[in-house]
Amino acid sequence: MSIRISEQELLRRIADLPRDVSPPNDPWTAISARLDPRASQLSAAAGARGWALRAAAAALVLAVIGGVVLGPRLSGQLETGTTASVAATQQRVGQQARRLPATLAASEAEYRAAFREFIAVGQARPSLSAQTIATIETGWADLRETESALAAALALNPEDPFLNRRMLELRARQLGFLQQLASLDQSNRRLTI
Amino acid sequence: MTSWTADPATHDEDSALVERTRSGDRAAFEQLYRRHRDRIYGLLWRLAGGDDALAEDLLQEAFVRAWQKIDSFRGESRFGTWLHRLSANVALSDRRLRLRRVSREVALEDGAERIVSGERDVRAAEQMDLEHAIAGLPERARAVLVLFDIEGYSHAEIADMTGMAIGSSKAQLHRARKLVREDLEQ
Repeated sequence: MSIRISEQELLRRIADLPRDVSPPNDPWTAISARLDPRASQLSAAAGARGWALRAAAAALVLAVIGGVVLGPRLSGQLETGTTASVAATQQRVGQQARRLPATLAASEAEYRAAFREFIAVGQARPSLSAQTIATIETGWADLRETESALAAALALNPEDPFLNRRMLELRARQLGFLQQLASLDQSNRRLTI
Repeated sequence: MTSWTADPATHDEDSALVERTRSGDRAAFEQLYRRHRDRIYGLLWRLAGGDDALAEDLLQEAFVRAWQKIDSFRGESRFGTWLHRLSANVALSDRRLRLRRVSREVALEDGAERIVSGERDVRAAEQMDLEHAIAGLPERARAVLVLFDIEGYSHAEIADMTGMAIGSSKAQLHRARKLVREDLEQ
């Protein structure tokens, strides 16, 4: 036997239904794990990424300028080197290396230290601490100081193969720095987009 | 939709928590979650036809979406009202809601028993039957009945949320009530 239910009766029953229902499991842990940093935190991350981009851009400009200013002189020097005998070149390098100014020796030590920091930068982290950023900035400043000292020494001794070789090495390290910054930036971009 | 709550104290507490959430305070957001979870789950569980697993997924999605979009909440309505609307939209846009075909009976029984557990009056059985009948409705009819009869949305609001015409919303409600009554009368 069926019972007739009026619309009013149906609406009364619906009105009696509880609006609150407890889920069988509390999903807060899963929700919390999916919460991205909010805008304020993203701004900080974007700031770090912006710094990396600015530094990379600066390095690129320096590399281009260095290539334009020093490139022809260095390539000329290299061509000369290829035409000279190996023994004569080694002898001349040895003599000139002994006259290496003390300032260049100090600069060499500086950018060796900076280079070690660049290796650390290459292991890109999800986020950069203020200390890491300061370390990178210090390393970059050391490289630029070294570059200035080498450029000054080359202005006085443009034919010095030792100085020219050091400048080439410096350029290689600057390019390595650039590549690692680009890698770091890509890692941060993947994590923040 | 009718106002979420008339209690000004609740509204003020929500407002303070929302402000803290905007600045990235997860603890504040968790408090908002605790305060509104069961209300939102009730909506989603019914829209999901009593499917606990789907409702829980939708609950997660709704609160993650709320966290992401909290800056778009400008305080023109109560937070609970905004969250309720957002959650309904999350559910209505979920393809699983439309594709769901199986495993409804067991999930519904569990949920319905959980709702009426502890009650001693004769309405408990009626409520379980009613939940069962609502869960068994076709998806669009169920959505309109849940949103209009249980949650208090207007046909214009439902039309806006579901993309159907206002006339269709009214027709779906008529159909839903008829089907539910037929189910209860058996």
